[in-house]
Amino acid sequence: MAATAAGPKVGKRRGRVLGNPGLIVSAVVLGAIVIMAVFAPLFAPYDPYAQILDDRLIPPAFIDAELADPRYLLGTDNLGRDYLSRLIYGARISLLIGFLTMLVSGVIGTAMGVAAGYFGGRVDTVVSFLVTTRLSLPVVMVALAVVAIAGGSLQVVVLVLGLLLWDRFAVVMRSATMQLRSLDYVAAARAIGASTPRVLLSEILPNLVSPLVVVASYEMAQAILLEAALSFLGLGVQPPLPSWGLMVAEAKEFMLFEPWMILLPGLAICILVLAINLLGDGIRDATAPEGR
Amino acid sequence: MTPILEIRGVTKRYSVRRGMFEPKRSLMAVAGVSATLPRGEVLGLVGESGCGKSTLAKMVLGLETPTEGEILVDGRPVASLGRLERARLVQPVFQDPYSSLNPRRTVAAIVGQPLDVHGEGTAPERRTRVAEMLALVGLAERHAAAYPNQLSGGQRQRVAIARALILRPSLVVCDEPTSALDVSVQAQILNLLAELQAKLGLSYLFISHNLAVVYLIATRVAVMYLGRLVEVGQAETVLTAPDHPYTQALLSAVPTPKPGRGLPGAPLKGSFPNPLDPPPGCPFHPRCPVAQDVCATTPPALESKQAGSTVACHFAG
Repeated sequence: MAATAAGPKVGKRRGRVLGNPGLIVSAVVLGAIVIMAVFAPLFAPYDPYAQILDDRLIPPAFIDAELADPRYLLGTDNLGRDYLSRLIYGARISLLIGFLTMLVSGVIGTAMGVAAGYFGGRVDTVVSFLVTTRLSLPVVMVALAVVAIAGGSLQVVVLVLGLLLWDRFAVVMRSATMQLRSLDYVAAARAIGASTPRVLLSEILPNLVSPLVVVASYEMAQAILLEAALSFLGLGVQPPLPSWGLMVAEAKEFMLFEPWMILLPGLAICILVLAINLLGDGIRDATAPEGR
Repeated sequence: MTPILEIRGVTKRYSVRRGMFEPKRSLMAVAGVSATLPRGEVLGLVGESGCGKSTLAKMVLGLETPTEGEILVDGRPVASLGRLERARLVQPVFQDPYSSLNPRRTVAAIVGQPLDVHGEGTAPERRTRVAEMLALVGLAERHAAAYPNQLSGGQRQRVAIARALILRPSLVVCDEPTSALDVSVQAQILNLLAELQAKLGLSYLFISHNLAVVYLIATRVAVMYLGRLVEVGQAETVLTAPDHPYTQALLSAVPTPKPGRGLPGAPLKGSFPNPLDPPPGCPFHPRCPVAQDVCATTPPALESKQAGSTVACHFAG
């Protein structure tokens, strides 16, 4: 959109992007993680599943320089698998689950929220009831129950989380749509004869992008955390898949003597979630139209 | 010739519930309004905030449906027109140009949107028509690529006018088109509207609470109070020799531009009544300086009092 704008606008927007260190740093960090995850076979020095039982529990150099092995940059786990390779492959699982879950819940929540906000009345009553019902369900409990019945796998985790995390999308989109609906440009669009789908797609949705980006980033981070939690409890993705949550779970037995094993995947989760949240906030600040 | 706009006994009721356990009550936003607007003229609709002016405008635009009565545009009932057909007959210009333009579209996209919706012409044809329209409302070519937030209030209102006129409607509903603008810009927009009316043979339903603005542009004036018309007539007559005590009070409250005169005193006692609880009889009687017992019981009908003027008052004139 900025490409078609007149000169001063582009300059202002570029200024808003470059003047926001949080946005730059998070974009770089997230970009690095995404590239690493997509091209994992190129970056990972070893097969994340290959067990070299002679080289078990080798700490990384910055933990114990004497025991460290230069072949394993971040050490090895209790089965002699290269920790760096597992972390790199683990980023794939986290990002995939985060992104797909956000997509599923975003589509459900946005559709419900926009419908409730625009049409009001009965539609609003029904949507509000569904949101209340959903909010009364504890996410982790329901996810545990469903995964326990259906079995843990990537697809099940995405579906369960996607069907549980749409509430914030619905609530935020509903109130944002209600504000937009009363604006004159929506009335003007109806007066020029635009159909309801057209009004929703070309007048309402484009003006929902800012809050949508924030909620989407928050929900993606939330989904990544929940996947880690489910995997930690043994109900998410199953071993030997290298999920970060699973790595934390596997490391907890060695927490006393090899605390770095739990620290590294924990730190990875923390950095990823932080980067996504900062990016969402930054994008919102940079894309909001001036004067609004 | 059929009048361009004919409002026949239109009533709009909303049901309102103040709290969860309160009973529903009905609010009469517009109560039995009838008016006609001959082709090529401007009907000024004046009244206080909350008197139902904008509700009436929304019904003329087909954005709301009347509870009772019907509205004919060009002899055809608005309610029975399809949305595309209706859009070709009547278009709005809204009060606040800051909320009437989508902030995410360029000026060219906003002005060209009606052509888009109606599937008129090819892309180059649309571009030419948008450029012609922008020139007609006094915007430069370079404004076409601008976003609304890069324009001033007056320029935005010109964009809104261009969007309203690109389909060549016969009736334009101007809902306080100048009241959100600076005084100097108000005059420019008014002149533009008057100019376009003459050039394109438009008719306006012009809503305002600014009597000076209405005096300048309107040929006929309708004064509204609490959802009812209290006085209708030629602009000249109504605004210089009003018959209804409410119109008289409105006129005496207009500030004079002469220095040293001070503010005009408020000629009316009390305040605007709660539309949920309208007074019985004549809705104006609690504030009326000439009210008598009959006013509290019998609502007056609109009756001809002068040449061309109709007034709803027992003691008018």
